[in-house]
Amino acid sequence: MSTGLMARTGHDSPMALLRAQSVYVAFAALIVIDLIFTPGFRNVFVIRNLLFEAAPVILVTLGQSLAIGTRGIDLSVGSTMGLAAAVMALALPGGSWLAVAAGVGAGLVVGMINGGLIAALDINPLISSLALLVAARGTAEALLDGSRVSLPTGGLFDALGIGAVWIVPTVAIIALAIAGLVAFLVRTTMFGRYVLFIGANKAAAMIAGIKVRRTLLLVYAASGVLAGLAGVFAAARLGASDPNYIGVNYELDAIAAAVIGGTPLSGGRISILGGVFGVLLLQVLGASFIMNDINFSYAQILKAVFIVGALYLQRAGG
Amino acid sequence: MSVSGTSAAVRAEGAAPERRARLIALIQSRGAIGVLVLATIVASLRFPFFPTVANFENIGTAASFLGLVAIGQTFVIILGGFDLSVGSLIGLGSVLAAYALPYGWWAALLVPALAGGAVGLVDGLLIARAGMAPFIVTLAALLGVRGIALVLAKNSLVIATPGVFGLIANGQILGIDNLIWIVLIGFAIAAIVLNRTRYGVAVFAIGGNEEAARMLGVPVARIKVLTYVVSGTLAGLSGALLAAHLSSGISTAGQGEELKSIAAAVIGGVLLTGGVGTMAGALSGVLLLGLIENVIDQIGNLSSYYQNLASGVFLLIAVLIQTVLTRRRR
Repeated sequence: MSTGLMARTGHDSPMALLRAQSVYVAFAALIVIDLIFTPGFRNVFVIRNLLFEAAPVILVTLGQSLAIGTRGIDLSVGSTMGLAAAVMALALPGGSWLAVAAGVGAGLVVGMINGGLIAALDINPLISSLALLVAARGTAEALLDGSRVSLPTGGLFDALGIGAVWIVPTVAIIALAIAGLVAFLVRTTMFGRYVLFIGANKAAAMIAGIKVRRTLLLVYAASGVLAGLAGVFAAARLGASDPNYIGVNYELDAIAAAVIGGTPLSGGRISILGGVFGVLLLQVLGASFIMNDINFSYAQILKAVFIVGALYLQRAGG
Repeated sequence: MSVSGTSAAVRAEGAAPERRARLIALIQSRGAIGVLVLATIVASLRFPFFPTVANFENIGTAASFLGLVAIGQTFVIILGGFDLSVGSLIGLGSVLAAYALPYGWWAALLVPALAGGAVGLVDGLLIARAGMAPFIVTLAALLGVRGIALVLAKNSLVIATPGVFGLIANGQILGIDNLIWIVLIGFAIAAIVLNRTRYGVAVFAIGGNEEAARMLGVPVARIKVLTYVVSGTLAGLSGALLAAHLSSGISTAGQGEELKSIAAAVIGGVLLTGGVGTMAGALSGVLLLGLIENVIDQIGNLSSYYQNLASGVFLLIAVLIQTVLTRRRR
């Protein structure tokens, strides 16, 4: 299900096939286990809540997948979410639509700075996004003086925070639609080819005349915009802009989800569908522990085991 | 001392620009010390609260926990890897110290160090033997170790620290806080190990060119595993000292320290591409971050949130300068 530069030969062994699809197998297994053992898992409210939580993570995972596809990384997405929420709170007097636009715009600014540093100045993505992780969180806290600002009820924020079509939240529909768009971009456009080519061999991509810098700038700008939107979603769900809370550690979840889903850190291959299921897997995993009254900390340990296991399988798959 | 940095630069250049190349390499490896001295002078002139012995001791003790972790991180980065697990190991170390203290002060130091070493061993084996990416292995360890710390202690465990354990972290020798002694001696030993032992040479060799090091007979896997064990052990120890200093084991302690330690090393001229770096530089990076925090903390009209902003901008400037310098060297 992943899009790589090399086409698959079509002669994969059953084990290799299982490896490539491990995230879907693991997700299906977890769902079956939950349906049998977890009390109340069938409740539609549970599923709806899960999807509410998953929507922002899916958005940052999409940007992360693009960055990882170019053999980069974006550690700034969690803090960018916090900054977007803070800017949105400041822009509230201009109306909710303007506030949302300002939040997404803040994400774009962070993404452009990050992309500019990486593309134009050749700075290691890990370091530039690490600096922005620290700086964006600090800016978010400074803007709101570290305090939580409540969002107005009704209107747009209710539509994002509690709006749903049956069991599917509006934000999840938006996130999945964007995921489809990104998957389309990666699969069928020149932009997608460039991203994968840069990830597979940056030097060769430059020699081949690919606009490496422009592509990298676009990738990180996109990651910033998606993180900005994720911050808006998370704040709307919370009903408040909390600069200390929104987006904290989301970059780690996004990286984990992307890797579990089959986007290797070595670049050149992206699996958007796998990433989405990686997010769902991690979310359901966390929820299963909570609903069984098991200390949530165990979920974190199991998450770690999952990440290592997924990576180990990918390694074995070559 | 940064053998690889200077020699590579010298080899690449002719005789005339040689002096220039050497100067650039010097800025690259020793620039952080210069900036630290400069920042100290400026801060001393600008802020009357800054240049006091008590304040310098404050900076030193506050930076000592990061300092210990930065030693291990510097080894790992020169080797060409990362260790994201160290922040969580500080939390686990402090909780384990609290649990082990009833058995003696030595147990409260030994158990966290061993636990940290064990996590480092697992990380190292997965990276060196199974060929997995350091970033994702230690990221998983970051999550898993924090989970274990939270399972062991949901809230902070208050411990009584009279006696030796408390003395280690809060006492003084020759009028200087023990924590400062510990971290300074740690950096001194690390600098000797890095520059004067076969292990240190191997670390530089692997970070510079892993394939070449392997062909020269360097036991790459063993050196890698050992380096992650060292990093984990130091992080566990740092957590134990934190517990002694604060009289409590705190499972959430050390969050973000992994990123700070990487930042400190990079500010200190340790190249993320591996093979280049000095312990003196890393120490300067640690102290610079500590200085920024200290100054911002004490300027009344600036909220502490600007600490993060300042640290982030500072890191960016440091990396920008480095990037420009290394590019010119090529």
